[in-house]
Amino acid sequence: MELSSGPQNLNPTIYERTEDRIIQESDYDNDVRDEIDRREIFDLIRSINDPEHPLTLEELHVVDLDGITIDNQTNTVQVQFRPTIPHCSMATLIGLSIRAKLLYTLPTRYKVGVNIFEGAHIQESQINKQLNDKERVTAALENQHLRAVVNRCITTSES
Amino acid sequence: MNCQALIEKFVNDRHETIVNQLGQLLITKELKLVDFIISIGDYLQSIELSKRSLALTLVANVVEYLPNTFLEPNEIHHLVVFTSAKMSDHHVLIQSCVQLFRILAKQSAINDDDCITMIKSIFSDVYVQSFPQGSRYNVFVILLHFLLHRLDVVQQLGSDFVCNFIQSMDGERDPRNLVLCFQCLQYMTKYLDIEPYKEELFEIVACYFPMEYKPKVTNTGTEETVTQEQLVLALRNILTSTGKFAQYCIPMLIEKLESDIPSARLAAMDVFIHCIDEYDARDMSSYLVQLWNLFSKQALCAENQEIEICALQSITALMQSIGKSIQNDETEISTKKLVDRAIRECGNFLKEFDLKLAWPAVKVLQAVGRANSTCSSLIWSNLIPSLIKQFNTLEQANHRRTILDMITYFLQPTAIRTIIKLPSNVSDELWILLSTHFESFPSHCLPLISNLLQLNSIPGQVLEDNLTKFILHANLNDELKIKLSTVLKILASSPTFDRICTNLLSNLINSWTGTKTTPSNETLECCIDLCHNSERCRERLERFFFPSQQFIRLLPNIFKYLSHLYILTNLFSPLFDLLLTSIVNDEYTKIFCSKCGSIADESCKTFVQNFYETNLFDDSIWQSDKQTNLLVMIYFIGNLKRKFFQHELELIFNKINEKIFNQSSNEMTDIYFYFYGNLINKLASKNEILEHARSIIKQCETSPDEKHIHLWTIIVKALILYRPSFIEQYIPTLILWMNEKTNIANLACQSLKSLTNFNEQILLLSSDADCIIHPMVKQIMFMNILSQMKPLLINNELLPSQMNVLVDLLSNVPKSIIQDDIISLLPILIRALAPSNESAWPSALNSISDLIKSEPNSIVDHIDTLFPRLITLATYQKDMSIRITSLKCLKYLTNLPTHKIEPYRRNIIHLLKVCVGDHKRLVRKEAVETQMSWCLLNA
Repeated sequence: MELSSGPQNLNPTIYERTEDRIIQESDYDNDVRDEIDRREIFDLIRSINDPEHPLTLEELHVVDLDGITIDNQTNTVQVQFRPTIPHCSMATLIGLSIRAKLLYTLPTRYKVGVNIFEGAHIQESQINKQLNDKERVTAALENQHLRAVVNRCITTSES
Repeated sequence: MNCQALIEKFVNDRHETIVNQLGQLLITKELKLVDFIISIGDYLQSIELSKRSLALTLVANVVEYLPNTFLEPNEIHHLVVFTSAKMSDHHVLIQSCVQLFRILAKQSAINDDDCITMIKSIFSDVYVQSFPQGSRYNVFVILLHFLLHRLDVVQQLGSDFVCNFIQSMDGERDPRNLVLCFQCLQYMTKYLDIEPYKEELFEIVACYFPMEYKPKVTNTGTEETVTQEQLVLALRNILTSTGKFAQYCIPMLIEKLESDIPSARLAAMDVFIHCIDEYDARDMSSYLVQLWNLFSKQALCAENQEIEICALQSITALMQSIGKSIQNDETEISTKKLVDRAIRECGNFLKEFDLKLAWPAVKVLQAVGRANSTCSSLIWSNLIPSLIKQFNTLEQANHRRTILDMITYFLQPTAIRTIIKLPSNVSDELWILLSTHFESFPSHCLPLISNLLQLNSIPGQVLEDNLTKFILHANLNDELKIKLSTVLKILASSPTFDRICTNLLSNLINSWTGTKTTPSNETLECCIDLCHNSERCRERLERFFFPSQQFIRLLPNIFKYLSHLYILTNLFSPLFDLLLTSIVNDEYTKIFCSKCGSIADESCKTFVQNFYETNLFDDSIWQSDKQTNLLVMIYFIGNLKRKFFQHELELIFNKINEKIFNQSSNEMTDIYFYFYGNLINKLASKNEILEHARSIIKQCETSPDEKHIHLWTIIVKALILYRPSFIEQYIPTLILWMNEKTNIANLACQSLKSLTNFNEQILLLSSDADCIIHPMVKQIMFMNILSQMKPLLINNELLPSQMNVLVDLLSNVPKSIIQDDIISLLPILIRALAPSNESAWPSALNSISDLIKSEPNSIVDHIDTLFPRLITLATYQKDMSIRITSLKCLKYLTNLPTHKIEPYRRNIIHLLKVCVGDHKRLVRKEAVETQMSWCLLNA
């Protein structure tokens, strides 16, 4: 996972942000159970910053609602993301940031898978393998330098 | 003591009272001004400079003591000539001379020649900028005074005045003086010939742009300070005051617009928005395209909302300024040309509405359109047909929704819309689109319909059918209800849509009369909306509904559209019996009667008098078995206006005063007591009423039981609302009760709670019911209560009920009042989080949360006790708001120094793992934010 010096995609296309989730009346009822849904997972990762640009993954269309699947029966979450260009060297870092954010913020019962959209990257299978290898992810997050970069990506203005 | 002696005393001792004594002598004519001047003559001509200066100061001070109408023209003349001669005597004397001039200038008898002498003398002898601020201030006061009151004299001096003023002002830096200078300049640009010096004048003002000034913080607070806004406004007013500045000002604005500093760009846009009233488009013709480019760039790539709003307003201003000028397609002064440019540059973004620029582009084009009718027509006829075409070719629902939103945005009403007509082909196409897609996108179609109706575009028959179907069958959420109500109200408000309204009403009423079912609340509300119109309300009301029992409870909603007398004579009075049978619900009674009462002003006097005669003194109405009857009476009377019904209110007070203790305890008692409080409050300005109230309070105090303490509380509250300082007399009694070991302590706590709770307004003790509410009641009351309660608060053996009420009290008190005390009270708040004080948790948590947010360091000494409690409360299953507030507190705690909170980190992150799996989404959201704050603590 090497970091190149300058941005690769100098002029990315910027997309409109989706509106914030509307709070329903039932959300304030303590007796109603709100299941974790796709939108909630999306809200967790939409604000992750891109490593190269001062934009979020949502604004760059790297993640969207359609790329997320959740199954509350089997407690699995699958996130698919789309690097802005097929040869993006930041793809692994983006995937790692998504994993880290979900690791910190999702209940531990969920098994999380992070993958690249099919055909969205030239090294798709290699990266997918890296991202879903628990040992390698743990090792990467223990690397002080890499952890600092990931933390920068997942730090949002509110936190 | 004679004049000479007084003068000598002043010169020797500088005794300030002497000025008053001399002034008084002059006013009472015991001393003539000539004699005074002759007496002081020796000093004025003394060879010692200090004596001359002192004498001149004395003259100035004495003249200042005199009224503005005191001096005769010849006296003023001599003083002016003398002073202007003294100007060239020595520079030290000039300050006193200027002071004297300032006083003389304000004398009403001053003639024109003396004014001119004075101005000339100031301009020729005073090097304004070499003097201290006070003297410069005096100079500008004199000049402003002449500009305001002696404009004809100043005009005689012509552009010389302008030239000299520029020299005097050049280099001025004191904000107090600048405010005056700017005022002078505003008058000069308006009334004097500035043409020869316009560039110099502009330069001298432009150097302050953009105005950046931070007022110094003064400890005294008494000194009058100049604010940044005051200076910015004054500067803007000058820059935009005359079109003569356009050729210099526009390049300056362009330069600022190109800068990287947002505040400079904002200031430039602000000036531009305001300059179009005076500036002509011809003066800026060569800059029009450049300005357009800069404004559209700002709007499309705005860093924040403020810049975006300003840029959009600037675009509108630019288009308006072009619209006002004579159009010439060969030059840039052409609305059509610029609108074309706008469509060419921004139109493409509308096709890619996933992109970030789509909405900014819509806003820019709308800003162009709202400038004037030509722009609107051009924008609409160019963009809307293509958007409709795009709508029809697209398949994704969210894209279609976006297009509907865009069209709605383009058609939104602005100030000028009333005179613009939507091109008929566009209007027809839109109605067709709406009729075919209304069912699929009601939430997006309704706002579009409102906008179209406001443009007076006549819909077809399909709209009525669609709306009827929608109202009757759809399960409407709150958002849709609001949108629907807007559409219906627009339909009701214009005679153009009379047919549609009548048809809709008939359709709706047929729907429930035909099927003999009960109409839903939503349907009834829609009917009410359709009646909203002062002219047709009555007609439709009588034709369609009147009288229907179901309808009565909705009546108050349309009261504002009916005349007061109509309501009282046609609805209230004959329907009284009907009301009593149909209004069983306390809430409806309250609403209905308060609405009736709130409109009962002078015009209803006869009605109320009749009503009183027939009902008030009929004892049967006060029997407790006719409760609803009494309830209606109480609410209606409780809402009568003090101003018009003082006498009636007194009558009723005296009537119930005798019976107040005889009330048997039932659910009516409470309302009855509040009604009594209401009357006391309204009549408290009368001494005998106040005495009555006090005697009742005393009676309550002699036998404190539940009923009496309750009555005591209500009457005390009524009195406090009238005059908050009364609280001083009653708090000791309350504290005495609170320290009792019996049930009285609990009752007293409840009493304190209702005394200090201003959040829940009780209808009969509120300003809505025309009660007297002192504007400072909260502040005065809390200050008093806190000062008297401190010993109780610090007491360690608080009962749980006391703890509750005190913690509640703290959360109700405005933060500014307890700022200093809150830290000393922190241990109590933390103690309130203990498991035994469950009911005090919400208030305590809110207070703690506010405190940690504003002053995190104050909590450092208590974190050892606070953390475990917050951790427990963050998983408290019974109440989600407690979980959320605890998590918020935990989040704010990350602002403490890292070494203090590091020991808790692992434990808290572990706990938050449970919280992020909470069964409520809002709790999870807060937990995630808190978790991130803790995880990234050292990042």
